[in-house]
Amino acid sequence: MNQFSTATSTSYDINELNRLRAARQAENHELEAEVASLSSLARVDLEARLRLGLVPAERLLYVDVNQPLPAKQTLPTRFLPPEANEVPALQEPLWKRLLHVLPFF
Amino acid sequence: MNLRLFILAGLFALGGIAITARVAYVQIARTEHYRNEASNEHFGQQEIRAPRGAILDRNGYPLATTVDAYDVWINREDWQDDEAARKAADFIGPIIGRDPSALISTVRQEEEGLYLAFGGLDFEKGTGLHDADAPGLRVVLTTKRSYPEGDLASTLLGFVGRDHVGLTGIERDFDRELGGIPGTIYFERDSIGNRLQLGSERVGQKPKPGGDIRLTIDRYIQRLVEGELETQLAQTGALGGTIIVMDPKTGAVLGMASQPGFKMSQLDLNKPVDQALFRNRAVTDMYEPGSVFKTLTASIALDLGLLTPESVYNDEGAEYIGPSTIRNWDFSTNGPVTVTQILQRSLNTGAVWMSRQIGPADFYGYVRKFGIGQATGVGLDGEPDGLVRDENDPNWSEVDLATNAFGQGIAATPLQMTTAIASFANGGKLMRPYIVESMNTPEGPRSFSPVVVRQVVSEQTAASVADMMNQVVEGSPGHLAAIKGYHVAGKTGTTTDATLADGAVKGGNVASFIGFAPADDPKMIVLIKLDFREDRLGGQVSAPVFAHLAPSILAYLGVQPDGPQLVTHP
Repeated sequence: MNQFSTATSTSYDINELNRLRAARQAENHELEAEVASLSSLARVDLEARLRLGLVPAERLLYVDVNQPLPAKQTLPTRFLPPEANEVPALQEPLWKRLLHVLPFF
Repeated sequence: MNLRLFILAGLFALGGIAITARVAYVQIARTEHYRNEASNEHFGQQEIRAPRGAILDRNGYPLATTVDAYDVWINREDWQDDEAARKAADFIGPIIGRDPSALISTVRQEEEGLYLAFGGLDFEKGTGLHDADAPGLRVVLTTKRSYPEGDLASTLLGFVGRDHVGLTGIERDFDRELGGIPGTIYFERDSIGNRLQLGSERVGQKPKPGGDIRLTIDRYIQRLVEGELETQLAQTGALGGTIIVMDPKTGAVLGMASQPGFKMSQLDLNKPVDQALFRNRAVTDMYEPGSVFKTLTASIALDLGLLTPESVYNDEGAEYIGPSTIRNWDFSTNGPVTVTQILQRSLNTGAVWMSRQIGPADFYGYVRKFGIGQATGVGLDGEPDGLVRDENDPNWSEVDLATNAFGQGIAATPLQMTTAIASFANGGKLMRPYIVESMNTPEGPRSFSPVVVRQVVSEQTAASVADMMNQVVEGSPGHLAAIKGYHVAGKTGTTTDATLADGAVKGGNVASFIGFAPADDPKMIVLIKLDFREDRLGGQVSAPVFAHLAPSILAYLGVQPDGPQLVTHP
């Protein structure tokens, strides 16, 4: 009886946790979409015009600045392109590396 | 007696064998079948929709993505009781933004079953409804498409239907990659098929999420060209138009806008008139390119070694082909002119003269090498081949060669023309245009690299034509495509008597310009095509659009201008 009760309770907990996980995943997707919306060009343009009072440039002046570029705007990780060195190269097992020491390998 | 007994025993034995065989067949050979039947009797199954992949711009900014949402359904039968209906409607109505009384009457008008009160309700609001105990309320978890950049690239991206299947644009062309693979969930059900509240359930197959697709489109450039096209339509009264921005060295399409089109925020699938707005006209619609084509004719003559940019033609104001007379667009007579001047002054007679030097076999051979008359293979649906009538066609005549030489009587898509002219900016190599940079397919990630279709003309010819196109812009004082700080190469085109607006306007006019910059090391090529009811010249209306767009695009691409505009920080 006790075991049955524990099993039922655990099953309920698992279902609850699954539901919670799904909710958090959904929230995560919502937040990703919100981050994307907040960094949309239309919003940036609107903020620049209305809040900061900026206007489109009438004359372009190109300035060659000897400084590094500013950091790129952060995107949700899911949308970021993979970094070239993100995935570490698979290391060969020790015995294979030892084989390479031999002159004929 | 013994015989009868023997026969009877035999019959029993046969019967026994038959029954045993049948039992063995049912229990061994058909195990899976009957197990499934029993399982289906006790368990129902429901498809779990796989989350649809995102469509990203080339820097990873999402242009379309998927978020979780809820569909709100109401069971009509549960709302027959006035008190229950009122109680539920008062609770649901404000959350889904509907008047409770109107909601009740709408639900009761339904003939039977469930009524979809709201599709794609925000996850947070939907969760509140999901946990509530309102009569007749069914809240089902689903997903919906979200467009963080709003209406940007609507026609290019396309849209999905209620079943989340791509219907137009990229959404349809790459539906398999974006859509993923749906999963299955099994649940215990009662004798009439309803789900048991406390019954067991198990996931049969997990849904495999759709892959993200990264485009070559740059959201900044896309926004620039869309904004510019809208402005031009409003200011000039153009019926429609197309702007394409491409990297001539790779064929990557950086921006692509066409009008008329649709806006995602104003999409109404119930309006039949909107159907014509869904296609991406930069890829699907053909037009007569007009004088832009003279650059191709000149390049053929140069590549065959028949002419040089300095070769002289004596323009007498008309060229005669049998009974037909071909004159210049401004009815001018120019006397001795070089090939470069033919392009600068856009002389039809000069183009006819060049085509005569070339001959039909070489002319059409090269035209096809430029990709005119065959789809580019950009990967978008609805791309036509174009129309080229060559000397093998029984209806072809010499007049066709003459008019084709200056871009009349021949049809290509804006994308085909951009790709063909881009070869002059790329050492004579024709690139295959592409719009998808990488994607995750069910088979794994896949990326696309630039593809050289063929070497159309020699590197030297391409450089000569690029130089002549540079002379067209910078050798003509006051050319409206010229921009300060950058050397531009380009050519205008104007086509009269065109059929426009999906056949509604006859005798219209197409004014276009194709140019690339910087002329000595091109980083972008831009096509501008505007459709008018009345006569307008490409040099007057389309060339200034280039001059307006190019500095912003070049600055964005990090191309430094020459000359005094650049202030160097010490």
